[in-house]
Amino acid sequence: MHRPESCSGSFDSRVWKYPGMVDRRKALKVVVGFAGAAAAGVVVFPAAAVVASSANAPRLPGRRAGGDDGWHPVARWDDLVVATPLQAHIIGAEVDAWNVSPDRRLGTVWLLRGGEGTETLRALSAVCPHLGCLIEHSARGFVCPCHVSDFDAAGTALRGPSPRSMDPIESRVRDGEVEVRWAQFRLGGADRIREES
Amino acid sequence: MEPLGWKAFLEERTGLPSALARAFDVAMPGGPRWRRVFGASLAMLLLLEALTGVAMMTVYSPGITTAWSSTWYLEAVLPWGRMVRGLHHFGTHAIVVLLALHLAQVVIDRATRRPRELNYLLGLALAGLVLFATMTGFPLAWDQRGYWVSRIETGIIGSVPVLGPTLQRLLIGGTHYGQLTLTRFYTLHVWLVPLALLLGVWAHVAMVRRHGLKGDAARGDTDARWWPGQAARDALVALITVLLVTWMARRWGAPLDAPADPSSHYPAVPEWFFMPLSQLLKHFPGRRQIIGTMVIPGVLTTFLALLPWIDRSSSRLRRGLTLAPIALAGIGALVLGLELRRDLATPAFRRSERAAEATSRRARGLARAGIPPEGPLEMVRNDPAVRPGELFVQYCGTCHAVRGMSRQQKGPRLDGFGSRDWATAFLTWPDHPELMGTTEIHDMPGQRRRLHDDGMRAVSEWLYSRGYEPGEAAPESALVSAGEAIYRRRCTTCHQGEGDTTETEAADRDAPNLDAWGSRAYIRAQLINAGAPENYGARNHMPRFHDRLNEREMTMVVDYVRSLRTRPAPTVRDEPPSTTP
Repeated sequence: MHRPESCSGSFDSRVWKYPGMVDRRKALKVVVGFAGAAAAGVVVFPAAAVVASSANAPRLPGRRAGGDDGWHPVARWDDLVVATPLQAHIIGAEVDAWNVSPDRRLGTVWLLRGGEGTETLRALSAVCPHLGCLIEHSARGFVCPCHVSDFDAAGTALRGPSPRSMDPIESRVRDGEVEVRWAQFRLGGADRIREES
Repeated sequence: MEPLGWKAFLEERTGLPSALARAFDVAMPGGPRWRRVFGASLAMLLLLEALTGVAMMTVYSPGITTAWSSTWYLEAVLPWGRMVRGLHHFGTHAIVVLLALHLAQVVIDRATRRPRELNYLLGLALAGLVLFATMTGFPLAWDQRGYWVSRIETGIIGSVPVLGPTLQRLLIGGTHYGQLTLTRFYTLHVWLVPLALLLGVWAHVAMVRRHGLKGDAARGDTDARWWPGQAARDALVALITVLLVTWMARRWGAPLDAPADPSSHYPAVPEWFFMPLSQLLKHFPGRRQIIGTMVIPGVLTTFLALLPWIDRSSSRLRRGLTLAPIALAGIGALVLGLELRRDLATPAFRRSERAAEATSRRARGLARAGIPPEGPLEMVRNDPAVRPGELFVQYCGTCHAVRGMSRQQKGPRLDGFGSRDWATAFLTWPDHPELMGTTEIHDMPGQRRRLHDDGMRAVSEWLYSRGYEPGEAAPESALVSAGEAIYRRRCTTCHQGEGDTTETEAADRDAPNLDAWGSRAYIRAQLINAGAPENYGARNHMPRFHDRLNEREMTMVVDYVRSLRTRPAPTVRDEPPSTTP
């Protein structure tokens, strides 16, 4: 039996070469490389796709986008006292991958009433724009307890690591009920970018 | 074949004995030294983490409604579960300490230099991998601390320019820090990171064997071997480390906070070895945050990585100067850590810490009777000891005052509601500001002049008897019948229900029916519709709660209001004459 070395040693492929001909060993290497890469790709692609696709938070097929119009009643207008922020929770169905839990707190807002008319209503997200802790209210204004970001009574950032002021949340008054449209914003940046969810 | 010993038998068939002999034959010029023991202890502790981790995997269930529950079950129910979890937890702490010591020894003994540069870099990468393992392991119990610390950590990753947001999405599985985050962290923590560590440590050790242990040739005996002199030292120190970890696990156990509650306020403090980084953030507010999250840690890591090419001198002075930044960084970390401890010593933090500890204790207590399928968070939220009070504050406290719960006064104060004293107070002055004074219903005058003290006492006793339940202070039956007689004769002119209506016209009998006053049924009827004709009618302003509270919550609020009857009722002196109609 010939060992491969002796075979290639006694057999000079250059002699037999014609234009376009590929060396046999080279061709075998290409076959190994191609077959290996293709086999790996066949396996790796779907696996990587699963990992990457769930990062895009696909919607449950049976739940329409914005099944409700997004407005949640959170308090009664009469309960708001001028210049005294009221903390309110947005209650609704929370969708977390395949779990749908009714009556969950989706978020927390601070409601501000500026005066008599309902047009003075403002709602601020209680989620700190820095790293997402919940902002508390004290006599001096709003403060995030985690890294001591201070905000004034209107939610404007004063001191501390928060890169921007508190995020405003759409709000309105309907039939004496304060309603808000909950939204979450990207943490950490100076720009306010809404996270679609 | 001639008879051979079992060693020779194995050798011929497997080659194992000689392979083992080769494995133990590592050069160590200069002979054994105590300062070289850290690597072996690290290997031992990684083994400990693997063993305890696999043991925990037989119990743990990575779901947002099961993670805390299964961890609690392991911790509180399974014999030795607390020990296994404690070993895994404090093993991590020991690994971080040993990593620092190992790194210091390697740097000081110049084991970073040719030909060991790449192995040194691999070691640094392994250290980073270990820190990543602690990060991915921290939230797996899905308790408050793990959840919040990890949410902040992934927030920091997301704040890195350009790649940050994508990386964060890949890591937490979308934009919602929830179920997919947990499964991803679990996969990373129990499979990918350990696999990478295993391969990395194997390569690290293989290279150590290739280079030989960095010995001290100046001490002579250049032919010295690792086995058995150094091996014995390694084994002893590894044993001491494991015993220390065992002692800590037994003494303190791994902490288990209350179930993660995304809607709560939680004072999130990372593990001690991440504290300096966490504190660093506070010094770089706003747009400069990246200096604290990326630039400073990045510069330090780069410096460490370049050390084999920076630290090349043999002069003590020059080496001292070269290595000074590491010492400075260490001192800086220490200062930052102390600073954080000082920041945490505020009364506000202590308070929230105590509150968190109380919730945690409550959760663990409730779990003892079993955790419902909705999960531990729902279990805590529906805690019969706390939830009714929360519901009361949320739904009733916006109008009704109760000491220690709410101070609003748009309806009657409910302290003592259903008691004799509350009834007497009401009879004395119904329009008192703490009673009906702030409502729009002002029909009832004070009754002391009509009924006198004896009549008031009797009617109050009868009213008390309406909601009486066995086990409470029994009403005096003589007084009750006297009171009922007075009520039927003199109050049913206005109040609905059975009684004597001949005193005046019965046409506008619109005051509430009090025949079941103070009972659970009465309280429930008010909650469902206080404006019903048999209650306060059209002028009532109390909202209807039948669609705001579900059945379980309704029962909780009813029970809560009923529990108030043992509290002291508002004290009401006689109605001022001027307000009497």
